[in-house]
Amino acid sequence: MSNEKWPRNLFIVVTVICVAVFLFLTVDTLKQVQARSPELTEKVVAGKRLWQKNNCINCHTILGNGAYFAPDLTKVAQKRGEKWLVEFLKDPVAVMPGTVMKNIAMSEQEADEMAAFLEWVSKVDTNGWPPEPLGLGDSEDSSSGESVFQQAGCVSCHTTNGDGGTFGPDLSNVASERNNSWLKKYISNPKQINEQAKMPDSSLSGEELDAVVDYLNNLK
Amino acid sequence: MRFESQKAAYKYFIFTLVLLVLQVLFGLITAAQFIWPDFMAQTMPFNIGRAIHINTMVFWLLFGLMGATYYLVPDETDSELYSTKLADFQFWLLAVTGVVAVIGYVFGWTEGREYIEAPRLLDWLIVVGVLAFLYNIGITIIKSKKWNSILAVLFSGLAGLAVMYLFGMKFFGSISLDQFFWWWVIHFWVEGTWELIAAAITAYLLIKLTGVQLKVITKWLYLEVTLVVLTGVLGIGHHYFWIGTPEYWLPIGGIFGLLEPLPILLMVIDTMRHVKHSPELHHNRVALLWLIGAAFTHFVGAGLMGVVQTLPSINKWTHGTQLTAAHGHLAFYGAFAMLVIAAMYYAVPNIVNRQVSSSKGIWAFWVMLISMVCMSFILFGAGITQVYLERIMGMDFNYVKTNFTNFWLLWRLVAGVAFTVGTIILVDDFLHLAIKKPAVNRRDIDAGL
Repeated sequence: MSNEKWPRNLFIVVTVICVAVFLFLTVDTLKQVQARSPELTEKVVAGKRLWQKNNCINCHTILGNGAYFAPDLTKVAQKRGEKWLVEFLKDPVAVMPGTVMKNIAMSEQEADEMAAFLEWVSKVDTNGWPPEPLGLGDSEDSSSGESVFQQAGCVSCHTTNGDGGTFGPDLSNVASERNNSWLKKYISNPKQINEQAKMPDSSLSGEELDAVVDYLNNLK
Repeated sequence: MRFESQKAAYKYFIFTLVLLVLQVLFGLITAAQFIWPDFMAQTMPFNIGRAIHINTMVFWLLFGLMGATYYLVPDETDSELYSTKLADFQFWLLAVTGVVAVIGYVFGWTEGREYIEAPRLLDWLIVVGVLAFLYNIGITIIKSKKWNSILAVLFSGLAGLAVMYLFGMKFFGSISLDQFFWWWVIHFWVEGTWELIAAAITAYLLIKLTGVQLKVITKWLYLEVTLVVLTGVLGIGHHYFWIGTPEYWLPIGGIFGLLEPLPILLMVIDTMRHVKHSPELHHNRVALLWLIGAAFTHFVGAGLMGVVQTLPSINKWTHGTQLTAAHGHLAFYGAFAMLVIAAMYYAVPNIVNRQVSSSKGIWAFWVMLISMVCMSFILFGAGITQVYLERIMGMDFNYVKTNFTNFWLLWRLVAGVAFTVGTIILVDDFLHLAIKKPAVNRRDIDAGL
């Protein structure tokens, strides 16, 4: 009789042990998890509620989980900055004319809360995820003009050397048509030069701006 | 069919097919939106379409598994169900809840958490429905006093499924805690409790279709589910690498994740062993084909496609890319969808007292399987492209999507259209089974009517 029952008993014993070990680890994880992220404020929690209410997870991933239709937002606050996020969430198309995200129009307060939530997420200790990209080849580093051009999203609308989006003009020869100061001025604030411009203001630092203009010059 | 109350399964199976058709339809819409983002963008935005795509799947698999349970429990307990009225009540409660949930998503009534989007009010209705189900099944088994291995494993899985759902009902301000407990639902469903249910239903179908003895299958079944628990419980660690949980989950998730294909491999060996040494192969070869296909696809989709990205050193680069979609599609299809269809191909002909037409079932099998395998490998290609260009080279997500991965995703849409054709053949086959009832007519003729 006992001979026949050993597979069942093995199943029960293994289940009990595994569940016990898992619950022990759960208790420890719950203790540690708070210390691995900034303090939760009401504003962050309000942002989290908006995150759920707007069903963001079914286009984007966050901490790598979600849908693969739109970019991962774990570090978006570090990449874009709070000001950019707020402007984008209020009117995505105005900030990024080629964007697919056309249905969202948050109020100032909502955008603010959402940005606070994304800021909070970007500071969670994720064991180093997502990793820094290894780069676009040996001669390039992450601050190079080409990297900035890729990562700031310019490439989504503009083509250079046959690669890129077609929403904005091809920039392969733009440096032979415009001088550097014009380029910098335009990239910083397109509407200052052309009121009808669809291109959003960039949030590039002075260094990044120099690198991008260098990059455009080298395309000539 | 030995017991009248096994008919309770019928409604569940019919509704399963309705939801399958909806799932495929919304899959097509969302697949098209990857390539043409403006397609139906105002009427059916991607995030709503996708929520419907994955929720109709969760619902149809649950309805299918419940239907299979209602069919097999009278057989295994040698008794009628405790209450067919309760089974009917539970069906209508869950079906209406499901329909309201799907319509609700269209109007933005959502909890906004992947796979378990149903808002809190509907959560409670689902809990009531599932409790009614567990009560009905539980009392039937207890009254019969026949806790054989199939019933014990099946009931453990069903009870576990219900308990895990509760952990998805709480709001967390911290996204780390949110995802920590969200995985309790998702992982402990698909890599835990649903695997138990699948193993029990597979064992039942093997007995019916190959004539193998319960005594022989019991040992295999317990070994399989022991391995499921041994690898799956701590295997949840592979979801805890990057969500703000401690670093020790990296080795734990890596090691146990690597072992997770083992129980599935055992299920494949088990299935093939019994089919090869079958004392008496059942005439219903269509159900058998779907069952064998389920075992293999389960192993490739859930086992192999999962294990290749389970090590932290690899997962660091692949996490949250189309590789996960590749794994998700073939895993759900092999592990649960094909098994539910196998159970339906076994049970429905018995319920309507009519033989299954083998040609359509076989056509549906191959068209759906080949197109789903293609879809998965295409998504795998898209995933590798995304990992290399976006994650490793650092190129912009949208740029990579528009210029590189969409090449793959266009072919995914083609595979989706082929899968739709297979689904139409499948549904058509079941419609014929359901609507035409010549066996009854023949009995009428025999009776001189």
